[in-house]
Amino acid sequence: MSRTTFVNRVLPWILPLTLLGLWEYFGRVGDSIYLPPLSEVLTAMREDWLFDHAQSDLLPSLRRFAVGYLAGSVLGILLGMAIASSRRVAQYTGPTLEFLRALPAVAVLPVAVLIFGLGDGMRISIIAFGVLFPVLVNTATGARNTRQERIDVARMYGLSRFEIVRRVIFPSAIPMISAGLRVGLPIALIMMVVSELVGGQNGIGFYLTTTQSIFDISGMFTALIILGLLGNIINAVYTRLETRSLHWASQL
Amino acid sequence: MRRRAGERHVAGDGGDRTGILHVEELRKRYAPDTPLVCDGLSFNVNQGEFVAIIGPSGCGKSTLLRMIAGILSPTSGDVWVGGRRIDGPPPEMALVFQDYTRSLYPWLTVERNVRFPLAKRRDLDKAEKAERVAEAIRTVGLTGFEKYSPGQLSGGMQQRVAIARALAFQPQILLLDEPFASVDALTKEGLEDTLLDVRDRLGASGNTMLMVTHDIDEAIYLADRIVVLSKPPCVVAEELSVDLPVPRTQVESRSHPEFLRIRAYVHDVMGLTDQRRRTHGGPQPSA
Repeated sequence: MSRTTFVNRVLPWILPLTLLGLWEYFGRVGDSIYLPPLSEVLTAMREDWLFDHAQSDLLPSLRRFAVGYLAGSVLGILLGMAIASSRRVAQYTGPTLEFLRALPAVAVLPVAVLIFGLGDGMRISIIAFGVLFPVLVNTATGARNTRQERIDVARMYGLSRFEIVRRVIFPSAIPMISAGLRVGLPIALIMMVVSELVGGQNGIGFYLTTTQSIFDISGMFTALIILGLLGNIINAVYTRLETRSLHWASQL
Repeated sequence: MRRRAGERHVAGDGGDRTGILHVEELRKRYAPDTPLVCDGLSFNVNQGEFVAIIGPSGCGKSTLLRMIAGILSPTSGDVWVGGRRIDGPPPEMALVFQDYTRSLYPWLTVERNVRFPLAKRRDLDKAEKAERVAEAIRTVGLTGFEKYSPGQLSGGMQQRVAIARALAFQPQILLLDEPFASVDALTKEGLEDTLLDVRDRLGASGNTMLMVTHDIDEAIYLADRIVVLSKPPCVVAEELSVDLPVPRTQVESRSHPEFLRIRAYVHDVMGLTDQRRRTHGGPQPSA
């Protein structure tokens, strides 16, 4: 291994390992109950998440995440395509969507609680609400930027307006849609946790507030670690899928 | 109705709608209070003929071709195809654009791009479609590249895909919008010859081709007849036949006395000769 590759491989690990070391050190030296040493957190991690809470909290959270994300994405793509394909739809919905888009999704939580109560309907709908707008805006932009020549070619060969949307405009928008879907991932994760902080019976957010309220500080930290890992894994998986299937995007 | 050989259209008579394609008094203004792009264009294209339209850049050549293709409505005037006045893209035409990077579908393989025009053809079964696609790909010399993505091919090969796509449709009239302007000189010669091969194969009664170009040499080499457009707003400045012997070949045809004569003549019509002669103090062309 050459000197440069060695440095390149090792350098990124120095800061996190140092931070973890400092965490362990101050956790042991200090007497604050708010900073348990890393080793204790890892023990709690093993005891709580293998696999009791993985089943009772992680799975329900992931299910809400998946359903909400999917619902928001599908709705965003459909609405975005409709807006880009029809000036009439764009005129009808424009100002309303602009207004809703500017609302912080978190602020919609109390309203969602009033409408849907404290069940999964509320949680899934605010995850979907958070994901909807980045996907919608990207879809509409991508679809509007379709090269006129590509549309003209399809018109020459007698495709109907709907067929042109399906076979030309939608595929042209896919790289932009994909970017919107990627932006939506961390938003969905945030909304998932936030939605579980109020009136829940399970979920990672629920686990987080419960452990905090019973002073299970190690437990609380495990939830943060789980969330961090989750966010990273989801993003890595998505990026991998995207680079594999959108190799043609630079040709648009 | 087929016209007899030797019966030649006279420039500007405007009343003859019997050719496969007839353009009558086309005018185009993109928006009110903007200058006219085309100001009363009329010409005729006969069955099986290769007509090249040349004109200075920005003279409205592409606008004209889009109106003929039915994807742009003229402000006034008509386009007649096979005796019918068109109102939208006519089913007997295919169009090859200049810029393959903007007209091919990068998310489809070469094969699927070429099959694209057949998507809505219910009169063809699967085997017939596959045969047409294979035939078109063979014609442009891309056999073996069916599963490639357009982005993996060179510019010249991508334009071959665009041509194959138009051929798979088997149009009666093939429109070409500066088809070789985005490829290098050598590739261009290859593509020109591919186009001539296609014509040879289909025979005189086959494809009618209408090409827009700003390349005088290319127009002479390929076409049976040349329509020269004026500066904008464009009208037909001149129509002339190219009586070069067939089969045409790059080296022989381009050094043929007829080629050189037409070349000089077209330069003259387009006002290009004057400029050079003036700046170099040479003799003025005789009136």
